[in-house]
Amino acid sequence: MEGQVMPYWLQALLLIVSLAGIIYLTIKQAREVSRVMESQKPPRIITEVKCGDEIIKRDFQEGDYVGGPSAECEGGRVVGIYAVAESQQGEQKGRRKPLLP
Amino acid sequence: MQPVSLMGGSLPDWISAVSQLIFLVIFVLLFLGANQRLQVYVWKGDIRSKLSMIEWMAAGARRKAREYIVKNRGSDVDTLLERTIDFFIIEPVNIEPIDIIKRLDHLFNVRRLRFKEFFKDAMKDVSEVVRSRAEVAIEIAAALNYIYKVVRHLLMYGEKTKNWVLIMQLQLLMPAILQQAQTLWKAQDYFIKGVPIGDGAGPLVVYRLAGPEARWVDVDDETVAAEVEFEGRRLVLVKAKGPASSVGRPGHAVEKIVEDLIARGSKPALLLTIDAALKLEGEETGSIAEGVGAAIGDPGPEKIRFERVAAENGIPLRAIAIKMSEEEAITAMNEKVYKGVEKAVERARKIILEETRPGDIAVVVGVGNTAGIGQ
Repeated sequence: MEGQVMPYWLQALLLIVSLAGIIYLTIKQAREVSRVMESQKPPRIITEVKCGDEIIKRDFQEGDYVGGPSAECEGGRVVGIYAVAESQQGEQKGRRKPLLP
Repeated sequence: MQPVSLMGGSLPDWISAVSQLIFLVIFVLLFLGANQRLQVYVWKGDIRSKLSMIEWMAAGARRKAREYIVKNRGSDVDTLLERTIDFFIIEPVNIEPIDIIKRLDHLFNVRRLRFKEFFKDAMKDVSEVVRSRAEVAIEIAAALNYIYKVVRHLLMYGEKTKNWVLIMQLQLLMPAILQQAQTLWKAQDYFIKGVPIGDGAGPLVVYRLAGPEARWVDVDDETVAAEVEFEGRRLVLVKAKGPASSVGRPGHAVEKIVEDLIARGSKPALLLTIDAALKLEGEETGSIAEGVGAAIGDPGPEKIRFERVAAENGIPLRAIAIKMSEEEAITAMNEKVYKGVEKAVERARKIILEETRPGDIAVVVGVGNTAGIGQ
């Protein structure tokens, strides 16, 4: 019976090492996949509308294009559309109201 | 305390014997290349995991393109996808360079017209803008599908021929390939929504120079021009026709405009091209650089027209580049690029003022995809 002590001990060690390796690789892989998913989160797109001498900023709406009309004011025209940088987006978390100049 | 006795030997003796045996086996295996096989096995696992991500993106892009076409009353969508997703252009013979540009231009024209017909047949009741977005959505799905197929081919070929060097190279390239695939995947949404992309910086500069009141006229396929006055100079501004997703044919358009102006006895004093340019790592996004030559990244047929018409008529050919990364060029125009556009407008005005005199004509071309940028 005593002859089986060493193989059990070695087997346990091997098992632990293998399991640790598999868990590490799985976590590494999962992180990579989540990084891909994370990068898919769209940034905030801002539309700039010119109303007279004033520039109004609001969230992009489908159908907006530079040079196109806008309902913000009479004769309003879209003059710019751009994505807000991620760091700036982070600062604005929790207040997604239209940006006013 | 007596050491534990195991089959006539003590425990330390056994541990020592097993350790030596393991060491010996590992030593022999090293000579038989087991380490390389293990390494290749790990590399293949890494490639497969990234390949499955690319496959997922390719399938997703195809699904999104299909949904967009169906949403816009497209008919026979599966046939359209089948015909366009694997569409290819065979490069013209280049060991005989005579008229290669003409042949390349011809092939591009045939491809462009064929695609237009495919989409006109499948999406009869929608505008050109919607059709152009569907076309780009499919082009992106096709690009992702191609990346997936090439990586899969290299992996399978490496396995089949036991070429571990090929597998190693592929594994080293996978992060860059995956990044490119991710960029394409992200870009598709912006094209479908009609958001201006970074590459639209050139057309946006020209739009700003023209102002909202400019009268634009069609000068070539999907290409428009407007004439405005600036500090006593006549500016002829050229861009792709927006807000559809198109790069137009700026070379053809400029050739026509310049030849027409010369025929009327008014040779332009300056030909200025403005385009997005890939920045080097470490360079600031939205920074501006100027130089000489045609700022356009086409394979040749458009660029050569700028060079020929400028060289033949002795017109200074100047260029402004707005720097950005590849990802920034094909995803939503970010704030840094947007600010770069303002800087480029100022630089263009400065160049025009410095290099032309009142009464002169300057042709200014905004090169790039004009998605989301009208006129």
